Amino acid sequence: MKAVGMIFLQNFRQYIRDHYTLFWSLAFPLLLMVILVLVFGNLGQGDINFQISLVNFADTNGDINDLDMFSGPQIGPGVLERDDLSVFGPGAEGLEIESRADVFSSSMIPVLIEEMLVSIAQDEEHSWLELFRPEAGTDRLEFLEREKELLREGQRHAILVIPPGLNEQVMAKIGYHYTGIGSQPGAGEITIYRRPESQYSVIASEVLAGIIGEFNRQTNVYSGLVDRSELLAVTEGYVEVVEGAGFDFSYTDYLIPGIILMTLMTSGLQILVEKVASLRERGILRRYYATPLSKSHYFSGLIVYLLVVSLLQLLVVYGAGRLFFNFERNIFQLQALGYMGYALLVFIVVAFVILSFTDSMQSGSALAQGAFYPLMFLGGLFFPVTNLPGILGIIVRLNPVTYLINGLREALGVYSSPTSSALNLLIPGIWLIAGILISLKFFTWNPGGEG
Amino acid sequence: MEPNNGGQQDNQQVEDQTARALEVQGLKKYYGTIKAVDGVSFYVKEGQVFTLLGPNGAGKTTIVEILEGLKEADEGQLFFFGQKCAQIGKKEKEQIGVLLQENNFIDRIKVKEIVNMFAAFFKKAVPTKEILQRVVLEEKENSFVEDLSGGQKQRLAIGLALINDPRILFLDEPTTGLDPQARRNVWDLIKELKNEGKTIFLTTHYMEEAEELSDYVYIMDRGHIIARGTSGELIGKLGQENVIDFTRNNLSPDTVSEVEDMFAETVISSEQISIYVDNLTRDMSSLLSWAEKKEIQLDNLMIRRPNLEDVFLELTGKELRE
Repeated sequence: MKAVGMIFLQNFRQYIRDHYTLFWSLAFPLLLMVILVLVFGNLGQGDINFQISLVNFADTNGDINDLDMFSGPQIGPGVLERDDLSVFGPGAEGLEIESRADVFSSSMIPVLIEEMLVSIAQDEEHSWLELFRPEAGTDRLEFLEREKELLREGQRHAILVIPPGLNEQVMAKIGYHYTGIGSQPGAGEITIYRRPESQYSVIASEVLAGIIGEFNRQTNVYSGLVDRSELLAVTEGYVEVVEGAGFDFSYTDYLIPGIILMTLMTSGLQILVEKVASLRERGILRRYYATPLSKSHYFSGLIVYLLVVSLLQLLVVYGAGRLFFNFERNIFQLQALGYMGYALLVFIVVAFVILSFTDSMQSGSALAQGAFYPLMFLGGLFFPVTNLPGILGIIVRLNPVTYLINGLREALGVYSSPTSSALNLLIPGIWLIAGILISLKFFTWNPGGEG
Repeated sequence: MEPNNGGQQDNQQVEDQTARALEVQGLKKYYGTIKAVDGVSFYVKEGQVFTLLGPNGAGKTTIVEILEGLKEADEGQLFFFGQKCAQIGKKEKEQIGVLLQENNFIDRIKVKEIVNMFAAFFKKAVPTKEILQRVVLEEKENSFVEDLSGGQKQRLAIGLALINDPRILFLDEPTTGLDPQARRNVWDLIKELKNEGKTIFLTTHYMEEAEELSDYVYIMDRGHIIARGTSGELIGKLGQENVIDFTRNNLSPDTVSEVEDMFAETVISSEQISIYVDNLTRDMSSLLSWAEKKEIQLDNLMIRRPNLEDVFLELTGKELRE
């Protein structure tokens, strides 16, 4: 333990004596936070107020395609684009709109969704959402077209469209679950319009998707369905749960968890790779290896150091967030701390994987940078990255940061994670286990020798 | 001067019953097809300064790194203070001190801090103050290591090797890259340790260092031991009293051949001609007469006593520093 303490102490002394590292690990995150908030956060004008339209076609009957609502090139399953608008989420094609149906039987779930959004919009404490709906007697297709035009002009941030037949689809799905008769029906499908080039719009649609995801999850819990990727809603319990999540949203709320994960990645990945690669290349680790100091003691000391540095970074970012950006989330709660610790562990393991395949400081540093930026920018730390096309989309889905940040934001109550909690733990867990196995096989602190 | 490659008995050492600090038998280490160490055997007596001398690439560092526990041998047996061990492990590392060939230090660390840190790696450690006094760095205890001179850094590295009061000290090329004054200082320190009875395992490619410090010398080349003995014995085995050196310059091959024919023992390298003589007056006179007659200028003409470099030249036909 004496050796562990000394390794920690020495690393920490070096840290506080190195102005370069201090800047990048403590000052830079603050600088980045200020820049991002200034660019995206509408600083000085209060919190974000998302203007969202809701158009509910659930009690109608008709063919949306015939009405030319969703025409345009299809760019992926359930994703359509038209001009500068994109539609994402399932349910963009082949839906029937009836002229008028029994409201009670065909609109229970859509009404619940609508009521949930209305309740959020009317909540005086959570004033981030302004909801626009067609007035009674208004033609909803015309209303939708007008809202789309407002979305193009930047006067709306997102439009949520509940298609006809949603209730039936959901009911059929639940029915199949209990009876097992026939083929499994598809999920109820909801469409969200957004303007891709507007960060506000992208974030608004992300938040809506998160709310629907939470709705879906709670419904699954109540209905006993295990397939949580589908949208289902039958009980009344969900509304309370969704409201209880507290969607009091501002860009700083969205950003600060991202900055926190970035700082963890800085210490867990970048600092670690550069430190170990440098010590190894200069033969310093070999010198340690020539003493009775065990590898486990050395790396324990190093990990304690990383934990302390991470905590310091966390306090600085959190403190600045509270003092200057009205960030009021409680980051010192078990679930959030758990996600942060888990993230740090994943980054440390990724660092060891990099160190396993590099033998110089230069190559280690280059590879760490090469991993750092894609993980950060394609992980949704600063702005949403869902539905990116092609290879970028694949990277986003494979990126552990995507899930870690979703989990952390959900734990902090920023929004409901669009990915399930299980996935938020599983994907980083796969990285963690694979990384540990690779490191155990290939990592050496004594290149050319043993160990 | 018979080469001994793998023999473990040495008459001169066998007679002395001093305990063996270290012994290796049939040590082998191959890197693919390269035989870095090819069946080497030797032992080191307690209190002895044992030197492995050889050019770069001879296999010295590979041997010392095996003995420091940094590498594993492919074959061979190892005895540490009489105890057979598969390799040098944690228990043995508590008893050894190590000075690696390249000594780099972590950045932004003070002298006393690094000594304290290394002290924490061992079960028992000499007090930091004592170590710093030992290597004459007590006034530098609050200095950052990067601010020390090359010689001071090397003394610090030796101090770190002494932190656990080791029973055996491995010094791998301890004065490489140091200026003459710093080298002398390190030699003085090693001599002090020797006088205190420390067992020291030294590797070097400086013959004057080996001559100055060693009790016993093994000369290595290409993974093999090619000679062994005390410095005096090895030099004595050359059978010559003096060496006449001069620079080869632009002497034609025919002229060089004439010199070779004139003397019984001549070593010709790319830059220098060395003539080993037992009758200096007679042979020097012959050389000067020949040069005058041929109108040849002998540049950098010098008479000296033979040394371990000459032993190595005699054995391999090449210089230690090649």
